[in-house]
Amino acid sequence: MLNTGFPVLSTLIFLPLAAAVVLFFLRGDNTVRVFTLVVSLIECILLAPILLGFDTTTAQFQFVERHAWIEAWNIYYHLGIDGISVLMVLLTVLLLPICVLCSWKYIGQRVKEFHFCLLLMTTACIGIFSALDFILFYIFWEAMLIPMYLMIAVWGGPQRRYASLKFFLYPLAGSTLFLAAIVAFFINTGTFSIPELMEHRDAFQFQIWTFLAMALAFAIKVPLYPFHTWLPAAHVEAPTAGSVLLASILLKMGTYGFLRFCLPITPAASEFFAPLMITLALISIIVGSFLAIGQSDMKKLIAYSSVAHMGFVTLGIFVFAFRGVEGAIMHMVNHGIITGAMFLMVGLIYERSHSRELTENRGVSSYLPAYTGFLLLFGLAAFGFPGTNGFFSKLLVLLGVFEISYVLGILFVIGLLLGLAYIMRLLLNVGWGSPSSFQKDWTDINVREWVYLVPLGLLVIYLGVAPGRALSFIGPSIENLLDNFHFEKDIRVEPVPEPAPEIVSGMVLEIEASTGEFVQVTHSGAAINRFDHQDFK
Amino acid sequence: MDIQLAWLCLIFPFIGVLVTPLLARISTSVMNFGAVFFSFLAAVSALMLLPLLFSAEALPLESQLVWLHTPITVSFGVLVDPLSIVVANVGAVISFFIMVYCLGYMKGDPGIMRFWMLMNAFIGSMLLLVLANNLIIIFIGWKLVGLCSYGLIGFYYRDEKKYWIGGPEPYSFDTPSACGVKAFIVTSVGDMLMLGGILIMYYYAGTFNVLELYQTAPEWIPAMAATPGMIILVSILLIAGPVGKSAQFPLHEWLPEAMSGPGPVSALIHAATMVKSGVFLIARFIPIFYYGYWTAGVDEAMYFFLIVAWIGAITAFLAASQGLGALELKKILAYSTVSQIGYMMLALGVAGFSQDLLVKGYAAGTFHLMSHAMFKACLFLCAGTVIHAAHSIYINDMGALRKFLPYTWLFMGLATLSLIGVPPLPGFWSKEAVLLATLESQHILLFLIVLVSVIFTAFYSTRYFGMMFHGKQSRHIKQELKKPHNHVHEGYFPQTFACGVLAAGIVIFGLMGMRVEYALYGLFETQLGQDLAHSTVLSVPSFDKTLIMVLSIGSVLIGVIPAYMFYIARKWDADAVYESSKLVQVVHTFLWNRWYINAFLNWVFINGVMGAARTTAHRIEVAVDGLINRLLPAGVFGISRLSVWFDKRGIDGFLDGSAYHVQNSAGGGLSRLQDGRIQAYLALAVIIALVVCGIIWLS
Repeated sequence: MLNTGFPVLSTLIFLPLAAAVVLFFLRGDNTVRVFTLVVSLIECILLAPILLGFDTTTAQFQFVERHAWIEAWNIYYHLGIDGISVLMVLLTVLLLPICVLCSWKYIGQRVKEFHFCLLLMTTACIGIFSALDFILFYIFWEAMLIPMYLMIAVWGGPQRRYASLKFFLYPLAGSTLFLAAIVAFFINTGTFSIPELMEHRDAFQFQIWTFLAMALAFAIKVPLYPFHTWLPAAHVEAPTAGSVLLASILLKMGTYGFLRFCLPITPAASEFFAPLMITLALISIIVGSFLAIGQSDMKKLIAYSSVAHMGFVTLGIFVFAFRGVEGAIMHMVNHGIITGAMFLMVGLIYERSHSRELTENRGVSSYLPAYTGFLLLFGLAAFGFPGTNGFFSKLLVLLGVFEISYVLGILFVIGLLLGLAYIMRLLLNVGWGSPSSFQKDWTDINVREWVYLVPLGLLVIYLGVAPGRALSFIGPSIENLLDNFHFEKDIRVEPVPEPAPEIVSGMVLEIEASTGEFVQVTHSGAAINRFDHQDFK
Repeated sequence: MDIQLAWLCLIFPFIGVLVTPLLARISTSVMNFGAVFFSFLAAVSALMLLPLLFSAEALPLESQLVWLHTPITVSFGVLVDPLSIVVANVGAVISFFIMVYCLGYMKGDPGIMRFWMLMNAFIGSMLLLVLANNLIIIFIGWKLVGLCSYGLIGFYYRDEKKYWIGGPEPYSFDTPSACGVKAFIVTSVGDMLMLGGILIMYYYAGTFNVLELYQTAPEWIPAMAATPGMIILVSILLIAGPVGKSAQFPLHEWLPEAMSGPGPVSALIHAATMVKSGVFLIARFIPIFYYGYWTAGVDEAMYFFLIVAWIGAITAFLAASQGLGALELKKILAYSTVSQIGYMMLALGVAGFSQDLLVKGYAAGTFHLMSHAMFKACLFLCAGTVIHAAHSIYINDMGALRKFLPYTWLFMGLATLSLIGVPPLPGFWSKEAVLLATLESQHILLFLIVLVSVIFTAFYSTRYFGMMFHGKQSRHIKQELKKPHNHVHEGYFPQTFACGVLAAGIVIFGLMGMRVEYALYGLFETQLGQDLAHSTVLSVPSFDKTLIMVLSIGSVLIGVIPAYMFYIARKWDADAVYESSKLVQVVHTFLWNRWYINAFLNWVFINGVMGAARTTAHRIEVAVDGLINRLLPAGVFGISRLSVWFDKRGIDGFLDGSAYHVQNSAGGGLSRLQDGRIQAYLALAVIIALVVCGIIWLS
């Protein structure tokens, strides 16, 4: 098998980083663009070992790399992917060349810096989906914010300062809580390793608090309803490539976090809070759809539709049914493809008409037929037309939801209908009718645009007609995840009556044993000594 | 071989879709004939399935490819049984004649390639849905039909004024693209609910396969019945799909607007494909619920039949009454379709009312489906020709056209007589079968409603026919005739040919009416016996039809005679009646506005959803945004200001104050000690030394 030896994941992560450094020594905008494109294509080729060598029979982590990093703190450079993450890694790499191509003309200033950000984003995103150590994960998690922030703040629209700040602060607020949860896990178990934590069984009270801390971070990222307001602002102001990355990859990190951390590490709390999460997901679906219907800005419309779609994903996860979770993971990928493509379509029309208003882009079908064709295809996929990928994943989620409750199912169906409404509104306004503004120099989709739209279109149809291959990638992992979950969720371990200082001192002693001289140790030791001394007195 | 024919039948139209753009490279006429050729192949394959009906015991045949294993097994297969053979033939053969008609009607249209592709895709999707062997594939075909109808209804998507419908002048118009969206959304409401129903059924049965659903009914129906209300819920959800697609109350409002596409498209939607799919699907579900009520003894299963029957009867009446006052030719025909589909639904609904009626109702519904497909296709094709000739969509802009379009007059006349239900045309036989089944179900109210609808049907059919072809020339026609290159004549040869073939088909089919009816009884008796895995307790159908014939012909006459006097003989004056009677005016307004159902649905759903959306977007969202993005920072900054203030006043104040006092009070006082006199220093030193020593000594 190709599964051993060559460090595929590290290469995938560090190739863009190295390329980003090389970028600084290049001159000329086009050189930069071509170079980044070549790097992104090499990345795509590097996916071959994963595509061919991924073992679809096991739920174990694969392509694992594990090296000691900071041994003193039990921190490892630990990478690996399983069924939950593999598709997201594939999607991330696939989107890189598309992002480069779609920014070819649109980004005219600070080209080098833009591509630098793009490459850094890729590094961080692949890192997030493949890290198996909490500290490593957290580094990538935070690192991803900066290039995205820069993309919005430098190449964004008129409101970019407000939007970028909001984008930065909002998830950051969540991540600090997430960091607190990580530290709590470490204090409790002494490890940052995610696979080890999955084996560990924590007290119920402890699970409750860590779940809340993590879930808030992820809920902001997803985003679930009341935490979503950063999303439209960021989407509207971001350049097309930024919007594509935001919608296709960043939002998925929230639901990925639910699947990777909340369900396996805090199963009892996940079960306990499932009604809350389902309620939030339903609110996201219904209210998000209404919000999308009420917009007149195309980009905002699609941004709000993401809120609704991610609600479907969250709903699929928190029904804890095999089909629901399977549908959720598929929908993460499918939504990545579809919404990415929809943002590309908005970007295309914006490059021509310099407006994203529905009313100013009416009736483009008469002079941009190929554009309208693609818009129709992706639009159909967005509301889940049978034969497109959106249908299949929604069908699976719906199956999972109906296993739990048919009332939920009916509400879901209403969500689907509302989804139909906003997409049809978009199509009706943009596609058909009499043209509202037409310049003779508008050209239909050119070769560069065909190049990046066709793969997405093919994926939409391929994953809609033959999702079997993709499903086989994720199947065993979900089975494993849910088996463990259903085994653990009812076991609510009572808190072990262990006084906190003992754990601290134990930890400290361990560290002392391994490293000897250590500032922290001496300091804590002194504190304890003083404590003892006073007691003695 | 037989089963391969079914595969071919549904594949040919899709090949046509793919080949059309290639043929367009050669020449337009090659493309035209190529597209029609593939629908011809589909029709031939469907016709070659017919011999299977003579060996009905060998049916059903099934052939499948497994499409998906994980996580749910979905096979992609065909199911050939009498129902699918009959409906596939109706779909394929009539579609073929409609395609032939299009050769003339669409000649020279700039979007003709798109037209052929959509038409073939439409036919292919219908055949896919009819021949599919499991509910997911049926659903895919079902949605594809919806998509193609969206494309074809909105075919003139540039919304030029000449393609607007609605009106005339003081009333509002609709644009084709909006009509397409309306059709798509309204039918999707039904579709999505139906998907929910299918999935609930799957949850209990564990299969999507139609035959397996029938066979495993003894296991999963009791399981489903264990939850009270579940079967009613599933019934409502499953009926919602057909109600949307077949334009039944309360989702019927899209069909009158669906005529904004080209004429043959309406023929295809109304006669051969789209609206028939709902009736077909109800027929597919009937064995399940019949089993549930009559064999498994689940009382809730009866609701399925009650809902179907009542929806059918209400729609038949409602739509027929709306047809009485309408002015747009295609809209009248659309109302009549809605009404006639109501008859089919009613027949299928009463099929479950008693064990005797199962086969009768089932056969009556299917029989009416067949005969309606023929005459409605002919009507719409003729209407397309007439509308093109008269250059107006309103029947009051026509009049006395018989002289100019003699063939069309003949063909449309035959089709209209069949719609009215005049013996021996097929409409008479099938309507009579429906009436008989309803009467035998002993629901007198249902029967009366339908009988009244028969009167209405007779009236509006005679009305539009009279206003089109008889009476005086309208002002509009006179103006048209004055133009040098007017179109007031027959259409191209393919148009007349297709109408002629369909009209001939109506006559032949009508003459064989009774025979066909018997054949259908036999077929469906076998089929349902197999589906339900037991021989149905069927008494030989009592063909004592005298009463029904008298009632049927009587009500037809009640409708036809006044309409004849008003609009053909012109002995009575309709306008004078309208002017003189207040009641007629009120009723007319009520009917003209379609019982205000359209306005109501528009108000609730379009305005309601858009209002809710705007409110959410502009009020609630702003509030939430404000709450989180104003309040939170405000809190943070408030606390920060507070801590700044505290820093300044509290901590700094304390430190500064101390420093100040150290400097000014203490420092000031102590500095006086430092006066430079050496004696004082010494004295101080001694005192301090004493104090220190004292402290040491004390401790």
